[in-house]
Amino acid sequence: MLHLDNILFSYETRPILDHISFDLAEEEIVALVGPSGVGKTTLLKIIAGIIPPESGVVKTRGKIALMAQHEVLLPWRTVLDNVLLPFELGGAKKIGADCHARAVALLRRFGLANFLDAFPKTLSGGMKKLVSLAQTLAVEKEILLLDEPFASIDVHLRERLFVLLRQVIRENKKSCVFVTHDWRDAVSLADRILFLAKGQIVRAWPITDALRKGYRAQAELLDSIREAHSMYHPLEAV
Amino acid sequence: MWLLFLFFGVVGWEWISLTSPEIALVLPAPSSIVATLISRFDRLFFHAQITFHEMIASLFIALVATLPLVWAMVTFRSVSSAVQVLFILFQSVPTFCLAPLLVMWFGWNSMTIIIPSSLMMLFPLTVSIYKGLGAPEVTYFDYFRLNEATRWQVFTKLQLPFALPYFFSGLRIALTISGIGALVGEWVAGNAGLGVLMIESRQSMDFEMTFAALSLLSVMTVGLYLLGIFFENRCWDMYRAISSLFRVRAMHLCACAALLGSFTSCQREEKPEAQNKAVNLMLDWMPNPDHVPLYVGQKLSFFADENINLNLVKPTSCDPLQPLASKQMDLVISYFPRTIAACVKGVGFTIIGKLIQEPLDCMVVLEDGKIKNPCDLSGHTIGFSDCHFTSAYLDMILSEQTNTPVKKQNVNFDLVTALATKQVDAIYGAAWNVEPEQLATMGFRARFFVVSEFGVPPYDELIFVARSGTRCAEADFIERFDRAMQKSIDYCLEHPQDAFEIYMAQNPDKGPKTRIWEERSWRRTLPVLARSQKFSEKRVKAFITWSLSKGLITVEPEIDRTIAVLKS
Repeated sequence: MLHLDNILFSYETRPILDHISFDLAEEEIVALVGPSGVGKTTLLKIIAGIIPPESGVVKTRGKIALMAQHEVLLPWRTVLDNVLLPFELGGAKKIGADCHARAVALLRRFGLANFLDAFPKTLSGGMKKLVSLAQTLAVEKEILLLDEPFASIDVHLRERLFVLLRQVIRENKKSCVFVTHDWRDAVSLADRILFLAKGQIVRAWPITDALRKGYRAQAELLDSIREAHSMYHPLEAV
Repeated sequence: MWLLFLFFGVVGWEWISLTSPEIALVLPAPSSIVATLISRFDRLFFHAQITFHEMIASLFIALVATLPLVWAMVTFRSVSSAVQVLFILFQSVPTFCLAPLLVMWFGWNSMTIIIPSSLMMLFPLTVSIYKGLGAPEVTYFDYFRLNEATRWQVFTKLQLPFALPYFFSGLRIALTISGIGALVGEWVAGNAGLGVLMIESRQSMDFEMTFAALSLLSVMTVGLYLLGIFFENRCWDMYRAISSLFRVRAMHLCACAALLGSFTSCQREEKPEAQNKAVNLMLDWMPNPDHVPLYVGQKLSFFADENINLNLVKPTSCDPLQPLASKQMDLVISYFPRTIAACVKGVGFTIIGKLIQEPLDCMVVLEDGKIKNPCDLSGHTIGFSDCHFTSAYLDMILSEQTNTPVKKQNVNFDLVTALATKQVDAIYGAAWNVEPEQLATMGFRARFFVVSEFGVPPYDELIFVARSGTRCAEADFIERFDRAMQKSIDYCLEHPQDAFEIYMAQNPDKGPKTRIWEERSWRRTLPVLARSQKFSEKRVKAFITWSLSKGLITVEPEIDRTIAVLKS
């Protein structure tokens, strides 16, 4: 679905992404983890085509939907109208009944049935994330790029959300790259974890269902991620 | 809570006005302001309407001008920085300083008021809309781009609604400025409106009216401000309502708006052109009993009979010769000594007739004050108004009367209040037929010394002056004008009461208090109204010889060229 080849990008003179390459298969979910400021968000923007890379190639099969770290909810629109916003843009003349139905169904599945006509300012941070997620999933786009999609959503809701998300992705034959700070999110949702540091993908771990269920395997993986973290983002001991 | 504050404020104010009459002179009690508001609401409403129209028109012009400006600022970075610097420069220059220039371009119509005031409003509007368009975070733009939004969609669905609250808060500020803008404009170039009413009522010591006008203006401004807040809070509701309407009828609405726009602009162009070109005559002071004959001549068509379409303009400058020199006026009423001094400087003026044939200039003191005669002036403070070209005269008089220095204080318009509140011991530059009567109605007995008592030879105080070489300085016009003028004065002398009533009817803003002193003043004025439009050569020459000897003028003017109506 997605093919990245030798992506190079620098901010002013500081190199951010240094020859990054990876592929994303159909229905695959990839988690990008790594220390702060390593260029995870930048990489998503380059994939989405918002910023051009200095060199390298991005090849995609299918359209891209990006859920930004800061949710794009227009304050004068209701929750439902915000989810319908992407349908109004581009050449679309009229919003079909099917789009409307799909948006309502998604919001229902996220437990927002009572908030269709609410305005964003009346929602909590977690609810806004859910609306934003619904907005991203509603459109018929094959590649999902999610930037910190689960921040400010409580742990118990997260677990159920992962199930839901996997379901939606499988149903609609989408593939997904998401950025997270929390290794547990990565383990629960992703098929593959890519560790980004010093502008490169320095580690990669495949996640299997067995790993998801086995505590010992998970602990080993955690040790490995912890080690990578302390190696690439050392803190000075006082 | 704040209502309580307001209540105690008003009660305190009322109490101060009741207990100290001196303050009450210049700051009338709230009860009397309210009484004035009610009893003379028709006049206040009339003027408020004019001011309101000016405010709305200037707002409209500012809105029309701001859109292309914002567009240019958004499109070209250089324009945006240039405009912002320009705005700061412009905002630091009081707009009304530019008014004389605008008067020259637009003449004496409402444009002279509306343009500067809309320029004042342009700044907050433009800057706030510009800020509003850039308000959405970059993520929003990215999102729209990623969803293949067109430029128009980005504008209508993102930037426009985001800019709305900014726009309305700018509008709110603009609306508060609009009141001040209209007022200042009226002070400079208005013939009607609350600003003019305020100046007129202040000059005739009718402070209740001044404050009533002021409070009405505040109410209007605050009302518009609240309206701005109302819309600001509901701007997104309105946006939703309008955009849902637009989905269906966008094209129809656009077409309707375009049609409506062209229709109104067409309507505006249809202005009836006066067949007989009006002669604009500016008065020397806000209408007072000196001007009764002019209003009589206008009302009874003495001027129309001579084929003169006379248009009386209220003064907007201390020096009536200034608008004449800058070609804004065809004719002005001026003072004889000042006009002679101006002619010596080489300005081409022609004196074509007269209104008052004796000096009116005098010094006024309170009857119970320390000064009983001009010799007592030593060591006292004298208030004068530099509006009256009096400083040089005052110096001359003082040097003749006393050796000890006298303190001079410029009090501008407020001759009467300065004397009544005892800030000065005497005032100079008053007219003996006006100010003493004003003081009398305020409960002060006054005594005055006319300039002749100080040795100034007699002259004709109020005269009509035209610019040399214009149609109003032509022999034919002068003959017709003088005939009409003399006819008006003769009518006044024969029917003084009728004449006064005609004058009052044409100046409906004058309150009952003003009427009392103006009627008395009119009786005093009657004997000095010009009995003939001709100037006595002997008298003029005597005055000029005296002025030369006192150093008030340095060159002898060519009087037969300056005065068109000279009689040996």
